[in-house]
Amino acid sequence: MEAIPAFTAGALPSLSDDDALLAWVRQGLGGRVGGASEREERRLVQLLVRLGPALQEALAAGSSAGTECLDAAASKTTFDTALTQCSHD
Amino acid sequence: MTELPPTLVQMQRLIAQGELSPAEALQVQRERVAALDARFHCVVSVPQPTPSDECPTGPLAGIGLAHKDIFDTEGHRPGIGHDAGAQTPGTRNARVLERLRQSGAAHLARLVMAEYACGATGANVRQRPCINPLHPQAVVGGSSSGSAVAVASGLAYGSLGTDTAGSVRIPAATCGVLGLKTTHGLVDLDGVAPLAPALDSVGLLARTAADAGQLLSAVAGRPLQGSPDPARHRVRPSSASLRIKAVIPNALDDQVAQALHGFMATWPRAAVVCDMPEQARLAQWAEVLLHAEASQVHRGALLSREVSPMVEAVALPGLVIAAEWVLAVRAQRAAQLRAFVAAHLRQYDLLVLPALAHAVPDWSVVTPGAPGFDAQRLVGLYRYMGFVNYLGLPSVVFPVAVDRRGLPIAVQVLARPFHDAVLLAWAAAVEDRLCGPAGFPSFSKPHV
Repeated sequence: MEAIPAFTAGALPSLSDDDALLAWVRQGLGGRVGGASEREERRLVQLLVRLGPALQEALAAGSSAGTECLDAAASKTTFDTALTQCSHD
Repeated sequence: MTELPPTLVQMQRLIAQGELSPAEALQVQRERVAALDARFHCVVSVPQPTPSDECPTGPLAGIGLAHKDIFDTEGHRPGIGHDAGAQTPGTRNARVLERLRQSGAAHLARLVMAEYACGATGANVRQRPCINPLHPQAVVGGSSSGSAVAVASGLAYGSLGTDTAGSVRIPAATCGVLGLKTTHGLVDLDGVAPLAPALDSVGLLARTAADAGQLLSAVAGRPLQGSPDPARHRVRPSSASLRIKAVIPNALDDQVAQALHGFMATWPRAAVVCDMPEQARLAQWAEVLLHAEASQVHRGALLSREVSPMVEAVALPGLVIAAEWVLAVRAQRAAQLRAFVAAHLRQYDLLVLPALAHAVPDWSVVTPGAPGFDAQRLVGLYRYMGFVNYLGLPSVVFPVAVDRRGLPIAVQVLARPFHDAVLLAWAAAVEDRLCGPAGFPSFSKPHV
């Protein structure tokens, strides 16, 4: 699971800016055959707003711990090691 | 239909005593598959018997198992709930199925599942609707729906499923059997169709803790802590010495809360609290990984709109979730695991939680668009599940009470990583107290 879809790279707009979030969602769904209904797009905006605060916490925790740059493979290795270590706690 | 002993271990005993040969035992089990499938609709297809079925050897010789249709089998690719699969020359058994075969077990049937392992109810418009053997209107649970039905109905002594956000534990809870989500990485996923690889684990469903222990010993890819099989690994812990903590949230419905408090009262040394503040946040981080990885795994089908609404609900958000969020929640996993273990599983060996937030609902209550649909009841099926996958911990679900309709109310129990067998040891102790020799299914009262 190394690759992240290219269209999700970059800074997510402010979670209080509905119009910008809608544009972000449309960009993400851009390659979809037949597009998406506006209702579907609005639902995805709501999902981003719902998840946003907890995810900002993850970003902040990563910054303070210096782990924000870990890629998927490095994260997996670190996690697998933690699983083994925690089995002995 | 020929009667069989209710548990795998009892069948093993009959075979060991020479009352049945393994081949005779398998013959009887195979004969039951069609009849039980006609009642409960849980079978996708039946694999051809292999030469090793003629004269099986190993601890599981003569034992018939049936598995979620998500595992590669010899010469056949799985349908993963999307279709019926297909003969595919060159396909090998998934490594976990190969381990079971080497232990002597036979593969009786490939089982129904939610499409692409997405969906807590087990609904799948592409397959016949599975029927919960306990009550025809009760939800079956998913995504390993056929696995729970096969075990609860007696079609198979055990079943493998997969669990990415509760897909083994939810149907185990709704069908009144034991469901074990193994520690992430304990069981090899080679040859198992992925949903979200960071969260995926093989799980198993069985009628008793001892039966589950037999299966776990066969499929585990590394030594277990506190194994119930002393010939294989370490000593079995005494359940009396286990230190237990329970979290019984205030948000549960009355029946479930009352049942859990009543159950914990029978373990007077256990600590009982009502709050686990990090659970909601961890659940959201798990959700992000699920959406992101599922959208990549099923990207082609998603973009061409070839999937059902349930798969879209799981995978579509992954197309719009920011990469930095995904990286952040991945990078935090190790630290969150260490913090969780330190907070809940250092001073205690077991952490008891609810399995479902509500009593087992009917299909109509958890099917969007149906009269009587209640979104909260749907969320209540998986609210306490996903965060466990994010942490990679082992978790077992089994019934400890019944609701007003006689349907099971289950608990979920967590332990430290690779302490899967400790969970089964305690499940066995609970089973001794609450159930007869037929194990957990005897606890509920079938209405079918």
